[in-house]
Amino acid sequence: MNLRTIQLANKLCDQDRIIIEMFGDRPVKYIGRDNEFSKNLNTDINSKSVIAVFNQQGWLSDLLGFIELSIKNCEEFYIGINRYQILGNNTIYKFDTGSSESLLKCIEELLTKLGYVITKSGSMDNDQGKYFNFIQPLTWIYGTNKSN
Amino acid sequence: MEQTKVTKENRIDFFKIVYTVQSLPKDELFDLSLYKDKIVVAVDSCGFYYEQLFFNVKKVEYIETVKQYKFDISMFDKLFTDPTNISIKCDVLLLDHCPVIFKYKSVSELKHILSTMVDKMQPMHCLVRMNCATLNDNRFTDRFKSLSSILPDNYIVENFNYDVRNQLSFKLLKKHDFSFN
Repeated sequence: MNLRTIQLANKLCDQDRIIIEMFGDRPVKYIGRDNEFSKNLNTDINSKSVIAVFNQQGWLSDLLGFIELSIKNCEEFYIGINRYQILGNNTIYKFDTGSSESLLKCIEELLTKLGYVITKSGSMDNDQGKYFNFIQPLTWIYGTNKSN
Repeated sequence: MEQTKVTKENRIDFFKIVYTVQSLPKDELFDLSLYKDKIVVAVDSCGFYYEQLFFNVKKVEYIETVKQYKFDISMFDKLFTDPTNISIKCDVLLLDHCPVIFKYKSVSELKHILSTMVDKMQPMHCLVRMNCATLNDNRFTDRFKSLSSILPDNYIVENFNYDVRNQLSFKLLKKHDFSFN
């Protein structure tokens, strides 16, 4: 039985609902490993609206590469990041702190360079694992292409 | 925001995913046969499992864990609410994965907890293992240097293993109080 089923059975957690409310019935391209969650979306591999969830082990460079690849040519995106899955910083980028805010700041720099603008974001660093962090990551960003 | 809940339906599976030590084969556990005639205290470490595979281990468990997962009385000897208040003297302190004590703790919190526990319990040997994925340390600095700073004073490192994709484990030996005077 997977983590989602054990912890949630067939229910949705709050972060699931945030994503679903954000996109409603609109076709979305889902990039992630949570097949159970993606069944709640109207998935379309050709959609310009992207939901990309990083919930697997990787270095910071893997996360940034994942983001860059996932949102290529999209018009709007939701990116979810499980910060506990980040193995470490294997780049020369210098962080002020280890908080989610620092991570979001780094990602915003990347997204700005790629021509996107962040309109909403969220994090919960005092989650203590209570709030389904390993099911639906709690550090997240929503943004659009600058021309939108 | 709604919290993770242990329910009647998920209790058994939840216990297994939180307390992963009980799924490990004997050769992946700390080898307690090296401490056969010593007083071994296992805190929040699936002590019941170690006892099945080795010998008598004093099992100290978190009170809420015992309640939530409905521990049988044979699975614990003592209960704690705060690990820094445990003052049972022992030869060997075993801290294996410890979901209550280590999970989501920062480096400074880990250092404080370990230092206080060894100070009160005065073990000669300290066997520690933690899952790197669930530590709330700063992933954006040099993690190895940062995590190695949690080692308590008055102990030397006998063994240290760090695999960022898996776990950090170490064995500590208490320094002898020795003087030429």
